[in-house]
Amino acid sequence: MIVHLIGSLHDYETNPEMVEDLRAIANTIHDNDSSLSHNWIEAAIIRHEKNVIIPDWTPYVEDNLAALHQSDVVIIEATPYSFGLGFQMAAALHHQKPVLVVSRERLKYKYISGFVDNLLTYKTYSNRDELARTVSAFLQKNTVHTKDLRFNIMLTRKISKFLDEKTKETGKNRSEVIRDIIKSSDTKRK
Amino acid sequence: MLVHFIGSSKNIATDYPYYRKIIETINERGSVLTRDWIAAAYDENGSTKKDYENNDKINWEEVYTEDCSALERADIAIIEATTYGFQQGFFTSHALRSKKPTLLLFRQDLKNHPLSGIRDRLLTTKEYHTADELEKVVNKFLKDNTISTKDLRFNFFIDRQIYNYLREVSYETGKNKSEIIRDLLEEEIDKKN
Repeated sequence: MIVHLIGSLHDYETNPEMVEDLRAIANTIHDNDSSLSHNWIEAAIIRHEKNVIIPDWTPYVEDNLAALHQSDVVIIEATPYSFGLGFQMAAALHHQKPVLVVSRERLKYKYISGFVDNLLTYKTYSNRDELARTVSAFLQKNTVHTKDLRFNIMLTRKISKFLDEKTKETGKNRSEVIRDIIKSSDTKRK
Repeated sequence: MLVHFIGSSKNIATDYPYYRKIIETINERGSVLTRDWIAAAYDENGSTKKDYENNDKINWEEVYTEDCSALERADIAIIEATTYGFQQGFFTSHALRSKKPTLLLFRQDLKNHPLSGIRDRLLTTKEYHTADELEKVVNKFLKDNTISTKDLRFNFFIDRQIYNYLREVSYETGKNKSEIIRDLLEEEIDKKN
C-alpha cells in the first residue's frame, strides 16, 4: 500500500523528538509492507541541519501534493499543528483518502476535533511503541490488495441486453465494457 | 459581496486590531461577512467573551460546520495566517478547491518559507506590517474581485446551425432563446457540481 506521510519540521530546533517520531512512522509503514509515496524526511532533516535556503518552494509543494494524490492512505503527524499540515489535510479529504491524524498533544479541545468526516481517524500517543501500534492498526484496517479483485453484480434484463449489444458492436467482452464505462465515468469526474 | 474571514485565536491579543481592520474594510466597501466569529467570541476591546474562554466548552463540530457553510456561501475568502495555524492552512486549501478567490495575509516575510510554494491562480498572498497597509491590501483584493449582484449582459455570435436549433427548441418549449441557453448552461453547471 502507498502511504503519504505529512509532518512538519517547523519546530525542529525546539522539538528534536519530532524527527524520531516521523522516522518511527516511516519504519512502521515499511514493516507493514507498505511504502511512502514521497520520502521527504531525511532530505528535510539535512536541509535543516545545514541551513539550506530554498529559493523556490513551488516544486516541493507540488511534489507533496502529487504524492498525496498517488497514495492510498494518508498519515498526518499533527503535533506541530501548523499551516502546512492543515493545507495538506484538506487536500487529502478532497481526494477521499482515509486519513490517520496522530499527535503527542490532545486534540480533543482543538479546532481539528470538530472535523466531521468518516475518513478521519484521530489518535494521541505518548511513546513510539504506542505510535507504531496505532499506525500498524490503521494500515491493516485500510489495506487495499494490489491484486485484482473479483466483483459480482446482479444484472437487470435491460442492462444485460445493453451489454450484449455492446459486445457485438465493440468485440469486447462484458467485463471489459463495464470496466471501460466505470473508467470513463471516473475520468469525467476528475 | 459575501466574504468568509478566517483567523486564529492563538495570538488574539496581538491580532485583534488587525482582524477588526479587515472586518471594517470589508464593511466599508459594502461587503458582508458570512460568519462574524470575531463579534461572537470577543468584545469590543478584544477580550474573550465568557462562553469562549475555555476551549473545552466550545462545540468544535458546530464551529467547523458553520465555517464550512460560511465558506460555501462566500464569494471570496480572506485568511489572516500570521500564526501559521492548522485551521488557516486547512481553509486556504478548502477555499481554493471550492474555487473561491483567496487572500492570504501575513505580517512576516514569506520569502524562503514553504508557504511561498503554493501556486494557484485564485490565491493572492500578501505581506503587511501596519493597519494602513492592511487596509490597502484588503481594499484592492475586494475591488479586484467585486462581482456585480446585478445580472450581466453578455453578447456573443451564433452560427446558423445554433440559430436554427434555438429557434426549433424555442418553438417546441415556448421558452425564448436566452432562457434555453441559460437552462443549458445551468445543466452544465449542475453536471459539474
